[in-house]
Amino acid sequence: MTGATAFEAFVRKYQDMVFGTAVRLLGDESEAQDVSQTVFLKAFERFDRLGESPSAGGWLRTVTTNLCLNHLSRYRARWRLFSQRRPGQSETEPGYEERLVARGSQDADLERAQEHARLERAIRRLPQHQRVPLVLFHFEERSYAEIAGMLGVSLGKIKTDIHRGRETLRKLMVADDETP
Amino acid sequence: MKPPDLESFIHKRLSELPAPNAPGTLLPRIMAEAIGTGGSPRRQWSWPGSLWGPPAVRLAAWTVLILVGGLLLDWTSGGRIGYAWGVFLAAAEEAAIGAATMVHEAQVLWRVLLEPIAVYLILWVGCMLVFLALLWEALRSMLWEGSVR
Repeated sequence: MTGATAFEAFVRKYQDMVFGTAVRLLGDESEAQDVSQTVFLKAFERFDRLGESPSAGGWLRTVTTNLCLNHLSRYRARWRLFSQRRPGQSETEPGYEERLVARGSQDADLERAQEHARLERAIRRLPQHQRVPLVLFHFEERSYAEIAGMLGVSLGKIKTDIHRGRETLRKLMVADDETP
Repeated sequence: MKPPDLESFIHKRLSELPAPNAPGTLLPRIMAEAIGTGGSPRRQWSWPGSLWGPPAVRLAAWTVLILVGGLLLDWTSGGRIGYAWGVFLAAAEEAAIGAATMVHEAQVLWRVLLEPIAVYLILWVGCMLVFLALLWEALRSMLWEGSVR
């Protein structure tokens, strides 16, 4: 297997995990693609050590998380000073939710896929200060203290934000369930 | 719903979620960028271990190589390298004396001019650092909070 072919197989294997982590943290598909590309280019630079390593998944997940947090704290904060984007603005664009629904072919699968798409949409609709710690807690399985350290905010604020995030998520899910 | 119930409810629902699949455009985009930057994944080249051996052997080999090389060069140049080495040592000695004089002058300046106000200076710098840290913390929290609302 040539180097390029091996790297392509490597990207195929991990792209869903990297993109999934990024899109849930950032709540924006195009930004998640940019971050995923950067992550894989970093992996490309050290592919000789990473390619066969059993810890490649963990490395990719950590780098993705760190790049997303950097992206949120550096670039988006500056950009929003000039342009206040409302959360949910990109919901009109076709995205991975539609691809998620399209995956279910049977009725039962379709129903489950629709439910998953609603849940993904609800996560995306959360405000950033609730979504980021909530995703880190529930998907990345980080502790409250770790999250507080990563985001540079107090433990109390993290607990409050995650709790509010869960409440908001539950309300959004209920509202979605009631919407025909 | 109580917080522990809410946590387990949300965790159960979220753990059932499959990882979102990456868009089909991502792989070609990454490959194009990767191939554009290097052609194939970077392989780090290293010297074969047998050429170098353990660090002590490596150090000894380098020392012998430099000494023998230096002597050979000196011999082939008719002693000019030895002469140049002597000139270099003399210049280095002169530079060392100059540096020692500068240090002495700096010590005198410190005792006469700066030492009497050192305490006030340190206190002032400390206050400024505390002020800057507080300002930085306030700006950072404003930016973080500003980015989420």
